[in-house]
Amino acid sequence: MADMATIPNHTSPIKPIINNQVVKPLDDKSWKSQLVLPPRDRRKRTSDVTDTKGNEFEDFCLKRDLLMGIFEKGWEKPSPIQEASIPVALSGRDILARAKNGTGKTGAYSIPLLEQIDPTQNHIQALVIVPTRELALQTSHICNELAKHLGVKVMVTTGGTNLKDDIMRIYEIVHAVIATPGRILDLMEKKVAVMDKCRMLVLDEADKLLSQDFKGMLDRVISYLPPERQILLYSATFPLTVEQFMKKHLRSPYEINLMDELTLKGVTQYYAFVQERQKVHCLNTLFSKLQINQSIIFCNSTQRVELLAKKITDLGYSCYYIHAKMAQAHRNRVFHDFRAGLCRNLVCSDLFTRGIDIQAVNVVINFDFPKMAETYLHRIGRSGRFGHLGIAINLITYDDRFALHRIEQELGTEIKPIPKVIDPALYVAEHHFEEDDEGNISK
Amino acid sequence: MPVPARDEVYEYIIFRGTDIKKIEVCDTPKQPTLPGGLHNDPAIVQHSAPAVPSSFQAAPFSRQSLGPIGGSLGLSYGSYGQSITQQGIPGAGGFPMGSTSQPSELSTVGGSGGSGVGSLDQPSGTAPVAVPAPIGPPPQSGAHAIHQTDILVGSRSSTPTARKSPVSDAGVQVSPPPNREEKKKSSQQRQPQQERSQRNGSQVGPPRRGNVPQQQQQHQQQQQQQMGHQQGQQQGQPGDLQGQRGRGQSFNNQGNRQRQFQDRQLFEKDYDFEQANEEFEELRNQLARTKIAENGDKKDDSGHETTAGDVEDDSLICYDKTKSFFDSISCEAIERSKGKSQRPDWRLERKINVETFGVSSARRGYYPRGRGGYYRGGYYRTYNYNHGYYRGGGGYRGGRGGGGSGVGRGVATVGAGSGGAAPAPGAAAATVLPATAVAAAGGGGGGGGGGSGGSGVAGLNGVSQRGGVAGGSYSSTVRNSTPTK
Repeated sequence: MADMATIPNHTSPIKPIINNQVVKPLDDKSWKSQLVLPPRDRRKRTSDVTDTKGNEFEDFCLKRDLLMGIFEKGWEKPSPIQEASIPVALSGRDILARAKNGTGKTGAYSIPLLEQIDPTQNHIQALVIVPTRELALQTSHICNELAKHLGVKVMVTTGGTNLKDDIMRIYEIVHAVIATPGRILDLMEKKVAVMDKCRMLVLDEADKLLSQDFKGMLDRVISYLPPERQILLYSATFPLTVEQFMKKHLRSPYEINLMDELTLKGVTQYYAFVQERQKVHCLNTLFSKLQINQSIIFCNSTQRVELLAKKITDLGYSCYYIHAKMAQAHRNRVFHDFRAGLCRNLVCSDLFTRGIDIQAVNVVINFDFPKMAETYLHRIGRSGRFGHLGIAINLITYDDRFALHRIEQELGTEIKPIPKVIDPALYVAEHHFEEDDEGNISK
Repeated sequence: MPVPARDEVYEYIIFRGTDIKKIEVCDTPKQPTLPGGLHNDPAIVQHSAPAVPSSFQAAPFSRQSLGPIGGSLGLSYGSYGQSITQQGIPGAGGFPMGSTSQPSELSTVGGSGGSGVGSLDQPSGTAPVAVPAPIGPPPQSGAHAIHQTDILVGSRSSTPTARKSPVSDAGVQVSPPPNREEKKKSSQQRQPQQERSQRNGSQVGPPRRGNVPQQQQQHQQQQQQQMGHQQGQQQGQPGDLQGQRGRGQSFNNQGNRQRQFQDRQLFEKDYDFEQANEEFEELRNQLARTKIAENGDKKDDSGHETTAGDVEDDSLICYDKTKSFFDSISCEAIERSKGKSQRPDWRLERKINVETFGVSSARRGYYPRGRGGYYRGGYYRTYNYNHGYYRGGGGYRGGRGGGGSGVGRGVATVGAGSGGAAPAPGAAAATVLPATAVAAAGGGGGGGGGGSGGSGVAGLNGVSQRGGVAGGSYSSTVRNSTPTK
């Protein structure tokens, strides 16, 4: 990592999307040509998202209003997981789906979910449960965009907000609910959220939801659902413990597994050997050498998140920090602003390990190396979203050496020593734009 | 508690382990205090001491070293500090430097009730010590310090009126232009201060000798050096008092600062990844070798995961799509179900945090009291100034002391009092400060009344450090600006 042109870390990150190109109508359907599409993302994508059978969204017999929402979001063609799960989900079967981080799982369940909702029926017809509040916000945002022309009312309800507001809201028309487990259970138990006609339940990051952290909550949630219901489980990691739940609640689930290996092809992983007291120095050097568009820096405790954020600021770099012990209003603010690109670096705890999708992130730094392969996998999955390129850099101390090796083995991946120069083509958008044109699909 | 509470703050007290049955950190009972840090003793009719500068001084330091995390917060804080500083300066007059030792003196005096003024004078003696603190070029300040010391020592015996002159003198004499530019300051200060501390030990000492038995002094000096202390001891005061006073200032701080200083220097160079990784590779190879060697008979815990032996290979295939939908990679859920508690060991974490960041906590909740105290001090000071109080050179110094070493004191009496009432600014300070305080805390011991409430010891140290540092910078500024007024 010698001298490369460094971007001043203070300026605001570059948005991933560059040129304003109007997509030409692909066929004669006039409605499609009138859509206002977002600028196209020309960054290179790996086979993790391009390796499809070649279906189009139109092939799924979706309502035109939903299709409009999809295209207006800039989604051109279904990703592999979407291709595989949309038709099955539409058929009403239970699904157990496994796909890598950031390859389109949210779309894979929200599209069939919205498709199946009847906006003329004024009751809750679908429930999506996710493990963190930020993820709930993100998911509901996506659903709302997709449902823009549908007239489907999507509501988000999480802890850390005023319960009363949620109650007021839920008495109005709500067709789909996106929630974290505690709050929705609360609403169900208060008989405010009436679920007896909710025929669809999605557990995103299912393994997390079924872990000890949410002990038994999901069983209780399911007890409020009608006997005729469809349950969809999505995640990138599925430990065997999920099997119990599966056997108990799922009926001959359709298994979708698109993961030949666990890690993303687009994310190059490095380690840097440091002493504990050199970590800040090391990070400082990384900041000065890397071409960070946006970075997420993980620490192993909330305390360390704050300490590190302070240090980074002292060093003259800008950063936000977020962790679960902050007031929700602050969390929301940070999440929103970081996503909007107002700041280049985000220091966080494992609160942001799962699901958070910030496309502009091209660098993930494990300031503290995680103990679990699962945590590691999800963390580095914060970069390289939707098959794009990114790097993950792990600061490894003497005490971490075994964990490094173990995680490498468990994930069947390679974590390389950090080279003197990291090839910008591995993670810097400007260096790997595709030749434009459609056809991003074939690699 | 068999031993009654005392005003002095000890950097550390060594007890025999067998004699300790219980350790409790108590707040000193709040006593209404006068601005100068004097007890609100009915016998005091009037006094000239400006409020405790400590708070003041503390502010700048925190600003510099900690830097705002949240931008806005930090910024506002910073500006606040600045404004204060400026205000404070005029009043502070040249004296501020003396700060360290003074506070304690003041407090002592106040406690005794009667001789407020007299005591104030004494502080002037202390003043020299503080002098070195200022940012200015080290050599100058050093010389000054000596000079002043002489004067001060002399003045000590003198009456309150004498105070004035020292102040003015100081103002004139000590003139190293203060580096006021924020950022630079912090880095620049650092060095001088360190130098200073050494200097103090040696240079300042001599004048005192007249007053103090040599042995003691030497002893003290030694201590200083050991502890990395700057100021305290030199002041000419006899025996116990001296020692105590100085102590307030905290070596912890120094440690912290040194760390920061080192960091800064270090960071000018890039971290050498290649070299580090080479080391790591070597390490890996070594481990692999030892492991293979041991592999036959026993699995060493250290070697366990390192090798790529066939045995492990089986167990390490954690995911094979063709065999199972599920994986067996390590995850929280499984670890927990195995009954391994994930409870973080906070002690360990604290330790690691200190290693990584130089401090162990960023939370402000820990030492609110102390901080409040500081700020408060700032307030008072300003107030006094406005009213022309500064004349009491002694008073000033006293304040100073409060700032510097005073801490101890500030904590004990003043701090406590002000803690409760901490004005808004105090609060602001708090946000930024905590980290430093904590950092300081690393060191063991202070005795003294824990102005800082809960974690008395830590708080104290932190406080004192800050005070000291700040004091330095401040004083320099003060000098320049003040004298004329």
